[in-house]
Amino acid sequence: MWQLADQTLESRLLIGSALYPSPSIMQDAIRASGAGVVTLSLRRQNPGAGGGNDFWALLRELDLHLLPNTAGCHSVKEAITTAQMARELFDTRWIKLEVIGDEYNLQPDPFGLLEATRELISQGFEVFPYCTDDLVLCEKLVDAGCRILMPWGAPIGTGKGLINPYALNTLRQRLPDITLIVDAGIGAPSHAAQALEMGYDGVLLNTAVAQASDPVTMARAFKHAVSAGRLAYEAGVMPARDMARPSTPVLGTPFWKP
Amino acid sequence: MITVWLNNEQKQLQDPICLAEALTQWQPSGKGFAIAINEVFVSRSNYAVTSLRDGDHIELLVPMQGG
Repeated sequence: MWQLADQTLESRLLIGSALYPSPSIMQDAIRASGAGVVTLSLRRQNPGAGGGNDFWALLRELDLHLLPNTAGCHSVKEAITTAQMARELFDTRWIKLEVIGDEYNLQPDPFGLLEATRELISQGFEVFPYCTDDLVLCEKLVDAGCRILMPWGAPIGTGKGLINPYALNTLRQRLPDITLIVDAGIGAPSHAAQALEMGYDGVLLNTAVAQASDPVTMARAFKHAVSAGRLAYEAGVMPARDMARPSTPVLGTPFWKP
Repeated sequence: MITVWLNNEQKQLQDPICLAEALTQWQPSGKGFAIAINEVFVSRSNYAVTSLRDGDHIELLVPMQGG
């Protein structure tokens, strides 16, 4: 069990609800992942169409903690308004704050992110900022009141894994009391295990499961990977070294001559 | 009459009219939506006391899949 903001959770996997081949596969995959938190969003819908509410009903059946996002917001004002709408609609003060600064790689705008974070925290939100792995930005987000940070592993949807382990490791070392979750860029269960082995508290992913050939089985794979990574972290991973050292005892080596 | 924009669709309404009355005409399904007018959030408790004005841009958002 671990603590995420004001909630006690079992799984360290947070999962998205988008891009699945069908609503029923979404439900089955999220269940199979064992995740305790699911992300979702808000979008325009013509009145009377009802599509959003069908999705909402399916998600509510899963009975998970909801983490609404501000995906698609490019300005501080858009992000703050979307967060306020999400708070009322989903009845939660949690918000995955995205302020996108570059359309090509969907890189967070660090300046807008910090400004929006300050305002939303002053309004009582628990802000989960989707951020880059920049140490100074992360320190300023913590100064603004964030208890949780969600640096990217790689750009959203790329599946490239942890492209800058040095920066992510630096964050872990320098911010030991902050809940750190790698968000975005994870493509394979081994990437998730790597993040947990580094001491990250969790991972948030979507595409890697939803776009797998078999999302339900992949969800199960991620469940095990996250668990294995955390166990490895707790067990203490051996330090890497340059020189080989035999694991078989050299004493009594056959055919040895001085 | 006034003209407003609902999710970028032009709508004609009688004048004066409050947001709650306009929603009765538009009939969004259930309570699963949230509203902003001119990029400012309007809480559900204020629908009945929020007057719509000519040229208002209304965003009506519903739950959607997200990552």
